[in-house]
Amino acid sequence: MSGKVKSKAAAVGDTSGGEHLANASVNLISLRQHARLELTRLLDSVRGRKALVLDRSLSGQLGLVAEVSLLKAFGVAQIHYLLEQPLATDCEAVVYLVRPETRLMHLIADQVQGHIRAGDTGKKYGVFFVSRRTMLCERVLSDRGVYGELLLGEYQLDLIPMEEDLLSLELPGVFRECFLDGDPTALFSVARSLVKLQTLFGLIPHVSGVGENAKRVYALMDRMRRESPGDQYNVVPEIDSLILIDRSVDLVTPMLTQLTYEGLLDEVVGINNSYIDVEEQVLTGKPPTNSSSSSSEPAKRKHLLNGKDSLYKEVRDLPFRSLGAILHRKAGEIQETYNKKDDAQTVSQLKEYMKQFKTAHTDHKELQTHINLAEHVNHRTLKDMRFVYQLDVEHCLVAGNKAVTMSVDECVSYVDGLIGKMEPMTKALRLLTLLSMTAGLDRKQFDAFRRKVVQAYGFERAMQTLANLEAVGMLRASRSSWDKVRHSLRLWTEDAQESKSQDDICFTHQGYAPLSVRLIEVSSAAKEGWRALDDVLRLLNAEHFTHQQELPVSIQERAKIMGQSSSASTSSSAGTSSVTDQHQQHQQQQQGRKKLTLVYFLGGVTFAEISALRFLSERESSDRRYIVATTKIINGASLLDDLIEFLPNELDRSSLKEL
Amino acid sequence: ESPDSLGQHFLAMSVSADWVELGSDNTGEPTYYRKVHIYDMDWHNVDLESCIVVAAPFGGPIAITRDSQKLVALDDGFKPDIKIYNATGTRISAFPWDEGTIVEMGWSSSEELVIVCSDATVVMCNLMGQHIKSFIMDASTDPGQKIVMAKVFSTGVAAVTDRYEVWCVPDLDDPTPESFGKLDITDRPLCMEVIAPEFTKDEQVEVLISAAFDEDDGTIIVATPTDIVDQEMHASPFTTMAVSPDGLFLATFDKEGNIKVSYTNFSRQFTSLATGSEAPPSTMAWVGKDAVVALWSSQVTRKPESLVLCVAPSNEFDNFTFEGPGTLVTEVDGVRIISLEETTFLQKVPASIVDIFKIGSTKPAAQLFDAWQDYENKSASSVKNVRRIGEHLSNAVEWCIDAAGQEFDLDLQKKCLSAASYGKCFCDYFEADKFVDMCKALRILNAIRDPKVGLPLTFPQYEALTPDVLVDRLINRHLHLLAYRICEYVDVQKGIEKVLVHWACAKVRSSADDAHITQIVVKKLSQCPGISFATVANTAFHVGKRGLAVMLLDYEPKAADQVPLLLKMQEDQMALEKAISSGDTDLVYVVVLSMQQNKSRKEFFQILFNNQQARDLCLAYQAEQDPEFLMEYYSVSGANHLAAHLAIKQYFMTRDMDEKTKLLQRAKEGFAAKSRQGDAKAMDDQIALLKQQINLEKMTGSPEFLGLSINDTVFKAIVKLAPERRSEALKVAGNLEKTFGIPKKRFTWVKMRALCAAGDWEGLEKYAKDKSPIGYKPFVEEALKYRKEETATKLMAKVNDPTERVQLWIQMKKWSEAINEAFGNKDPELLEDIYNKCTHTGYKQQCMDCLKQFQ
Repeated sequence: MSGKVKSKAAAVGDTSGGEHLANASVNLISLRQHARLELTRLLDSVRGRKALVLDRSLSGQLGLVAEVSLLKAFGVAQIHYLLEQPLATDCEAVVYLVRPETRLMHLIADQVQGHIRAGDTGKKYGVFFVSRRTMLCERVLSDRGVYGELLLGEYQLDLIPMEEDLLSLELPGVFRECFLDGDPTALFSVARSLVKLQTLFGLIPHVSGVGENAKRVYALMDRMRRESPGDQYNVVPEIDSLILIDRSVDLVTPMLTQLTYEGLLDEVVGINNSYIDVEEQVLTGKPPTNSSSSSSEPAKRKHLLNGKDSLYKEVRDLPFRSLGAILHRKAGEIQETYNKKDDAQTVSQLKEYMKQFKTAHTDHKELQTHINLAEHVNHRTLKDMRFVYQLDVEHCLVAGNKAVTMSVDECVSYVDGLIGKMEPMTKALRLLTLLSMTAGLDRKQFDAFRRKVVQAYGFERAMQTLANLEAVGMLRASRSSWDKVRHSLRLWTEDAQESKSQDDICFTHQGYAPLSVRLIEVSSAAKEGWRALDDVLRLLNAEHFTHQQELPVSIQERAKIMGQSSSASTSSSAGTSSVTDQHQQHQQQQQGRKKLTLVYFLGGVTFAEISALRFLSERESSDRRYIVATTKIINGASLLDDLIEFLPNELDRSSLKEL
Repeated sequence: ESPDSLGQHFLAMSVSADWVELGSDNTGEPTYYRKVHIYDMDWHNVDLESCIVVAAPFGGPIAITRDSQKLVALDDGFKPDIKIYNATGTRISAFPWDEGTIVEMGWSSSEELVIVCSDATVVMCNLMGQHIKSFIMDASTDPGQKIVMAKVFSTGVAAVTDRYEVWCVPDLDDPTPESFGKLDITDRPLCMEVIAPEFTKDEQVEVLISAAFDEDDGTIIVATPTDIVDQEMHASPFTTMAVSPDGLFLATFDKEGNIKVSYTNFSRQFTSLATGSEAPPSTMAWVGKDAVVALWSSQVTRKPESLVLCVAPSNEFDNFTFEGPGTLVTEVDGVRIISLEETTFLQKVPASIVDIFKIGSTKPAAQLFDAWQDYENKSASSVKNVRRIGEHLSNAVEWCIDAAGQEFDLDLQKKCLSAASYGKCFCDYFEADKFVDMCKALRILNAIRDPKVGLPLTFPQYEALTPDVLVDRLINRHLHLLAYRICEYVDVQKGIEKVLVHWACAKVRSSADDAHITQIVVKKLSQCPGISFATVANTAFHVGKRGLAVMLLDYEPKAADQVPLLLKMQEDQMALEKAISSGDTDLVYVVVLSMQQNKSRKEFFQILFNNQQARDLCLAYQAEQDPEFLMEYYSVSGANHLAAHLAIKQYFMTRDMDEKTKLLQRAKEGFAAKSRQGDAKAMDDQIALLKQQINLEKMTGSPEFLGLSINDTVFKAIVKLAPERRSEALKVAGNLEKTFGIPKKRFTWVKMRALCAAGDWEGLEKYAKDKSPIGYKPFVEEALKYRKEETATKLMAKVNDPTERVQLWIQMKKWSEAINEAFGNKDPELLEDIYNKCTHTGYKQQCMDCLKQFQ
C-alpha cells in the first residue's frame, strides 16, 4: 500500500471494522466511535512525532477499536511494547498506554530515567491509563521522581463491542483477582462501564443479579450515580433490564466442553479477541507443501471470526454435530447457482446470473473456509475416541445417577488415569474440579487426588495451584448438592442427542443446559423473578437481588410520549396497508417490542453460554432479547490457567556441597 | 416635518449632543467619541496625588497606597496602608503594609492585587485584603539586586533590577522566576511595558523597556525568555508607553512631547502627534483598540484641573479637563477615567448607536426607531414606515437590540428594546433568542452596575469577561446572593455550585459555632446534589476547625475527594471506612499504604485484622513488595496455613538448600490442623523427595533431578543411569515407589515409559512378564511410538482382549493379522473399522469378503 496517510477526520470516521455492529439492538457503533475519538484526542494531546508504547495485554483490545492507519494519521510513527528494557526511539514524543499496575510504572520510570541519563532530555512523555488513573500509580511515579516529566491522563476504553449482541471489557484474570486475591478492582471497572453505558443508552430501569460480586457491582453503580448526579442520564432508556451474574455462581458450565461450533472452535484452536491463529493449511484445506522442510513450524495465520462473516454468524451457535449437514446444504445451494449458468440465454439473464454468481462466489469462499475449519475440529474431537470418551465422562458427571453410559466410579478412575498418565495439567484439573463440583469428593478421595496431582505434576506446579482451587471452591472435600440443583432446574436432558427439535438451551452441551443461562431463563419467565429460584440459589450459596432504578421525571414523560406516538403511528398505518403488510409489520413490532436485557457476566462467559442466550432471544415465545456483556470471554482451560500457579524453583547447587 | 419626527430629533440631539467627531473609519463614515458619566465617587479624603493608584479593568477595584518615591516620608517609622476600593469608590478593605518598599502594584486577571517590593518580594492579596501568597522573584545568580521597576500583567509580573537584569514570573499560580538576561545599558530605563503571553506570537512574555543612551538617543529593548533585542530606534527617549488591550499596538510619549502609535513588533508606525508638552503625562491608556488617551494629572499640570488628551488614529484629537487629580484604566472598548468626584467612561460611540441616534440618520435602524416612536405616538404612518425598511428590517431589529446593550441609560435601553420588539413583529422570521438573550444580559448588567455592587461593565466587556468569570468576581466581593441569582437566571448549574461552595467557605471562616455552621451549610448545599463538601471541609481544616471539617466531610458524596482529606487530617480510621465503602480499591490502597507508614506494626496489623478488604488488598500488594511483611502478619494473626503457603512460596525463591528444607519444615508446622493433614504430608513428601533427588544427582552426575515431580524423578532415574547400572536404577525406582506410595498402576506406567525411553527393550520385555495392572496394550503402543515393531509384536502375546488386539494390529498396519483376528472373533464392526482405515485394496477386498460371510 502507498505510504499516504489518511486525513485525520477520515481516519476517525472510518467505520470499517465495525460493520458487523450495524444491526445491534443499541447503537454499538457509537460506542466504538466513542472509543476511537477518545484515543485520537489523547494522541493529539501530546505534540510531535510519537512512539506509542503499549502494555502488551492491551494490544488485542486496542486492535478491536483502532487500526494502525488510524494511529498513523495521528502522528504515531512507531509502536513498541512496554518491556523490561530501555526504549530506543528517535521520536520526540512517547505515549504510554498502560493498565494502572505499579509494576508497569516502574518500567516506565526506568525508561524515562534512561533517556535522561543518556542526555536525551527533550522528549515529551504522555502516560495514559486504561481505563483509569490511580493514585497508587501516581505515587509510584512520584516516588521514582519522574512524575513531573509526564503528562498523565486516562483512556476509558472499557466495554468493547465484539458483536452486535456482545460487549467485553477484555480484562483477563478478573475471576482470579476477585475470588482468589480479594482484589475487587475489576468490579469497579465493571461499574464504571455500566455507568458509561447508561449515559449513552439511558438508565436501565430494572437491575437484578446473583452472587456476592453482582451485589457489589450494583452497590458501586448506585454509589457512582449518587457521587455525580446531574442530568447525564438524559436519554430514554433503550435497555429495559440488567442482570448481573457472578461467575462463581456457576463454575460447572465452563468446565464442560462446549459443543457449539464457536465453542468447540474456542476449545480446540482458541479464539482470542475475535481472532483464531491457525496454520495456513487448516484454512485452505490444502496439504502442506513438501518443499518447505518438515522440521520447521508451519506458518500460522490470523483469521478474523465475527459477525462480518455472514455464514459464520449463521452457524456459529449450532451444535457442532449438526454443522456438517448444514454446510452440505449450503454447498448444494451454491452449486445450484453455478448450474444456472446454462439456463441463462439472453444478455440480461446473463447479467442477472453474473450478479448471483458473484455472491455465490464469495459465499463459496467463506463456506470452503468453514468446511476446512470444521474438518480440522472434527478430527480433533468427534473423530477422536479419547475425546468422545471424555465427553461421556463429563456428561456422566453432570447427569449424575441419571447417566446411563457409565458409573461415577468409572469417571473417578478415568480422572485418576489422566493424572497417572500425566496428561496436560489443565485437562486433568478440569475434570477433577468438575468431579468435585458435581459428584463431590470425600476427604479420603480429596487427599488422595491432591497427592497424585503433586506427584504427577510436581511440587512447583501443583502445590499453590491446588490451594488456589480450594480457595475458590472448585476443589473441596465435601459432598455436593449438584444433584438437587440439576434436578430442580432440569439441567440434563437425556435424549438431547436424538431429539432433532432443539427447543431447549441444552443443545449447547449435548444435553446439559448451562446453569447460568438456565437461571436467567427461569428468573425472567417467572412472575416472582429471582425469588422463584430461592431454593436453588440457597444450594448454590448465592444471594440474589432486584432493584428498580427510578428514571428522572422528565425522562419518564418522554418515554411515555414516545410510547404513545409509536403505537399511534402503527394504528394509522395499519388502516391503509394490505393484510400481508400488516402481518409483516406485526411481526416486526413483536420483534421490536421485545424488551432488551443486558446480561453482564462478572468473571467471564463462554461462547456456549452466549449461544444459549442468543437462542433464548430468538425463541418465538420469548418477550426479551439479550445482549451479553462480560469481563472476558473464557473457557474452562483459560479459567484454570488463571488459577494455575507455577513457581520456578530457584536453586543454588553449590549449597549442596555438605550434603 | 411632523411634530413627531421633531420629537425624535430632540431625542437624537440629546443622545448625540456631546459626541465628538474624530476622523473617520475605513468606510469613510465619521467616527465619534463620547464620555458617559458612570458613578459619582463615594470616597472621601482620598489622596490620588501622592499615591500609587492602580485600577483593574472590567470595572475592577482600585488599590491605593502611599508612593514612597513621590514623597520623602516625614517620619521613618510611618507604615503606609493599602486601601482597596470598588469602582464607585466604596472601600472594600484596608490593611497596613509592613513589608518592603513598594515598587509597583497591579491586578492579575483574577483580581488579585500583586505587590512588588524592591527586595524582590512579591505579595499577593485578594480583594478583601487577605494575604494569598508571597514569593521571591529573584531569578539571578548574582545576589543582592534591587528591583527598580516592575509591571504586573494578566498572569504574571516582570521586573528590571538595579543591575539591569530582566526578571519575570510568567505564571502567578506557579511562581517560578525566570531571568530574561541582562540589558546592555548604563542608565536606569525610563519605563517599561509587558505584552502578555496570550497576545504574542510564540505565547511567551515580551517585556518592552524604554532606555536612553543620551538626551536624544532613546530606544526600546524587547526582552523575551529566549533573547534580548535592541530595536536601535535612535529616537527621542520614550518616557511613557502603553500597550493596547489586544497587544497589537504600542503608544509612546517621547521627551519631545510626541505621541506615537506603532505595531508592538515595530513593523509600522501610525499616528504621530506633537503635543507641545514637555512634561510627560502621568498616565497613558487606550480607548479600547481605537484611540490613545494621555492624562496630565493636576499635580503635573500644577493647576486645579487635570488635562485629558484623546488622540484618534487619524491624528485628530480632543481635549478636556476635570477637577483635581485622577487616573485612567484601559478597558476592552473604552477607557475609564477616575477622578475624585466621578468615574466617566470614554469610548468610541458604538456603530449601532451612531446609526440610530446620529442626527439625520437614515439607516434602517434609525428608520425602525422612528417608526416605533411614531407607533408610540399613535401615528398612522408607523406601519408604512416599517414596511419601507423592507429586507433590511431584521438587520435593523438586530441593530436596535445591539444599541440597547451599548447604553448605560435604562430609559434608552428600554426604548431600543421596544423598537426592536416592534420591528420583530414585521419580520417573517426572527430568532427570538437574540432578543431574549439581550434582555437577560441587560438585567444582569443593570443589577451589577448598581452603585451598591459597583461593577460598571459594558455589554462588550461582559461578553469578553464571560458570565462565568463575572460570577467569580461577585463571589470574591462576597456578593453570594447576587451571584447565585445570576447563575440561576442564566441556568449555570456549575456556577450555582461554585457560589454555594464559596459562600459555605466564607461561613466556615466566620466565628459561629460548629454545629450551627454545619446545619446552615448542609441545609443550603444539599439543594445541589453532588456539590463539593470536601472543598468546604478543606477550608474548615485550614482555618483550624478540624471538628467542623470532619462533620462537613461526612456529607461529601465523592469518596475520592473525601479520603485524601481525611488522611490529611489524620482521621485514618474514617478514611479507611470511606475508602472501603466506596469500592474504589485505589483509595483503599492509598489509605492502607499511608497507614502502614504512620502506624506501629502492631496497630497496623490490628487494623488489617479487622478489615478484610484492607487486608486482602494490602496482602496482595505486599506479596510482591515485601513477603516478610506477610509472614509477620500471618504469624501474628494465627493464619497458620496461609503462613505455610507463604513459606512454600519462599521455598521456591530461596536458593540455599538448607534454607529450603527449613522452609518446608516451617510450612509443615503451619499445616498442623487436622483438615490440613494432606498438606503436611505433601511437605514430608517434598522433603523426602529433595533428599532422593540430591542423591540421584550424585549417583548420575546429572544436575537434572531437583525440581522434578515424583513421577518424573522415577522416570529420569531409570533413563539417566547407564544401562549397566539399570538394576541399581530400578532399585532406586522401587524405593521411590515405596517411599511415596506411588500407586501400582501409575508406577507401572512410568516405569514402562522410562524403559522405552531408555531403549531398554530387553528390560521392557522382562518387565512385561510381571503382572501389569494397566494391561499390556500401553506397552505395545509405547513400543510402537519408538517404531519397535519387533518388540511390539512380541508383546502382543500378552494382550488378551480381542478388540484391543485388532486395534493394535490396525495401528501396526498389520492388516492380515487384524482381519484374521476380527474374523475369528466374528466381529463385523471391527472388520468395518479395518475396512475404513486400510488403504490397501487387496486387504479391503478381504474385509469385504469376510463381512459378506457374516451376512
